[in-house]
Amino acid sequence: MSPARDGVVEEHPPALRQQSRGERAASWRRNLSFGRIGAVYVLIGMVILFSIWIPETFPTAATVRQILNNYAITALAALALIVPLSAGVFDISTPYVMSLSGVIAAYCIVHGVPLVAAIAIAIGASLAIGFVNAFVVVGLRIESLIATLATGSLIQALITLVTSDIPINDARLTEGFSHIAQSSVGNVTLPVFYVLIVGVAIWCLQEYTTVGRRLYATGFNKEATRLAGVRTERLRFLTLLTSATLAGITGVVLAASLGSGTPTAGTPYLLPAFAAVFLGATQFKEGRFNAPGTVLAVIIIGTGVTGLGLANAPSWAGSMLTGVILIAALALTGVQRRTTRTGRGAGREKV
Amino acid sequence: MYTLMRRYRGAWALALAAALCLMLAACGSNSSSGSGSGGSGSGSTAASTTGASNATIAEAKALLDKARTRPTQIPTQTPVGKPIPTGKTLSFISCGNEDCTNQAKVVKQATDILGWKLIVHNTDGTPPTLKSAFDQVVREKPDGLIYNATDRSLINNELLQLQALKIPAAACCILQKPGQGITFVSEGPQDEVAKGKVMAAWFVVDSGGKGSTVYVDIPDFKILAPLGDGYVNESKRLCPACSAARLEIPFTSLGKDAPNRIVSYLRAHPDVKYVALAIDQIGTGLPAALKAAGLGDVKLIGESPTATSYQYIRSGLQSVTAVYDMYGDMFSQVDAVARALVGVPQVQSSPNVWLVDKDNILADQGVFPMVADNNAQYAKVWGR
Repeated sequence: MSPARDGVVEEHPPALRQQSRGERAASWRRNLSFGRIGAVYVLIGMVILFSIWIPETFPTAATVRQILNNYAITALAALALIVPLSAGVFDISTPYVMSLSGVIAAYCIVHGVPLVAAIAIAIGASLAIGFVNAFVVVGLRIESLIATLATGSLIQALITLVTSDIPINDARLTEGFSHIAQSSVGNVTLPVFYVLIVGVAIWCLQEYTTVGRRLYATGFNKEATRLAGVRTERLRFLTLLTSATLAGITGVVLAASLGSGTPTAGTPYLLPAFAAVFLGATQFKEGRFNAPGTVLAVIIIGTGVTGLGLANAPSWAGSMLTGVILIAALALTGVQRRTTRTGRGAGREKV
Repeated sequence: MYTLMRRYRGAWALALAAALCLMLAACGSNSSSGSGSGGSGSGSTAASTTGASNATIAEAKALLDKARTRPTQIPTQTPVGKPIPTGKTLSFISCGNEDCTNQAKVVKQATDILGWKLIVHNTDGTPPTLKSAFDQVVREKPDGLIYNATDRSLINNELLQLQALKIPAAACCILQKPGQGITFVSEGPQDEVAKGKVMAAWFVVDSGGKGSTVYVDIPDFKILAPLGDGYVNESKRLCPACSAARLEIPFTSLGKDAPNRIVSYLRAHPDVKYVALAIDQIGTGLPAALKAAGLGDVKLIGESPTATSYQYIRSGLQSVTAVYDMYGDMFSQVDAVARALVGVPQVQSSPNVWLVDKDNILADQGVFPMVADNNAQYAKVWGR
């Protein structure tokens, strides 16, 4: 019996109290299991291994800063993909949007447009690309993977038409504009903080809003979600606007970090961004694309490549590590998604 | 235990795959000699306290002083000696990047002087598009061809077909010598070695003969290897006590994690304060990465500058660069085609070398003739 409260005595069967403690313990075990946060253990293992292998250079604050600073752009590029992928939409055009927005921002600044206006124009252009993507995917009902691959190619053609593949450089780009990415707080560059802001925003959207739950539902079963009364097409439309906008912001930050508007700046980030998102989906949320998992994935890849670099590993080692991690992550995500769908059975969630 | 492994087999696969990669990489770093000197993780390279001798520093300084002076004469001084016909058609196969785009514009200036028509075949630099471009040239049968940095193994058939059609082909930046369809080669291996020596002279002089340096190479571009040979060997010759190593990075790192790879190397070798770049494009984003890593005292020596690297030099973020004589290179190739068409012997010449730093950089340094009156001098050679 529980102590009387307001004159009401509550009684709980002994068996129920034991189940609550047992359930809590099981919950902790599940949350800390390899299947849920295996990548964290892999990261810990890599840190231990590199610390033993190269004790003079790896286990230092400088290494942490190096990983964070050098992979912030990759993390931003990956975060831009989470929202559409959650709804089952591929946006392959994001790296091209990154290049375009960087070039536009640089062009505007070199031609005397104030900094804030130049950035706004660049992001506005990215949003316009998002509308084009959304129209092609949702309006014309073309498979997103192919549609955005096509629009990406068109974007690159547009960039080449305007720039002739020649980077835009000027002293004005190394002044106020470059501070967006090259300024630092405690030797941690600003893009790291941008990752934190965007990551938290996406996490809150997915975890604490109805929209987030509906995104996941659309991604898992669009038709069932539509029949449940959710406007899935509008959701998919908005996800492409979101990814394009975030890619545009990333492109501006990238151009600021390079101090120039480079026509092909974004394209090298295509594979690492998708690798990080898919690896991140295997962590924390059992097959669902999520921001914390994505950031963790970027850190893992960055730790591996940086550690290998500090250890004078062959130049092929970093790419091999990234490729192997991606294959294993995709295999694990597939296992987890199949397990999750099987486990739900006939249960319905309110969306 | 078996149930645990079965349930989380994907996660185990991930962990085992990562462990295997790291083991392979560890074995590779222990046995590899191409990733850097000084052993893995040693963090330092040997350097004696004696440094370079005064004589070798003086030798380096003399070479440096000559290289810092802007050249005034084009590489080709011998007049063609016969009238060069107008109305000819020249094909140029562009590799698709910034340099090649600019090269096409320079070639256009040369063909305008000669009264020729220029056809530019754009590619993205990948083997399929390059091969397709060469096939197209063979079909179109121009009067001459200019191409750059394409290994013979890819286009051997096309070169032999052009030779059979008596279409001269001039090339830049390849390892092969003239012959078997290649009429003329500019910026060959020996020219790259010479450029590397000048870059080495700068390092030795600036370090006072006591420094450690690393040459960052891209193995995908085989023509850059002689540049590295020239830099590393000359550094060691001028300064036997100096340390000169090589770091190879893949082409796919450009614009992505090249700065991170270099920063990692420098952190593993803290005595290295001079980084020589095979091409300045490697250094895009590098100054910011060095600054963020607390390595702002590392000096960058480059080659084949871009608009970005010129900006770095003006801002003091890069110390020096060896300018690529684009005008001299392209005009010498056009000159070679012209000589072939009129039947006079080829004149093999060495391109000019000019080392540019903050003190002698031009105000509007961009794509410009290294020799100020390049076009006029070539027009005279061609009898125009």
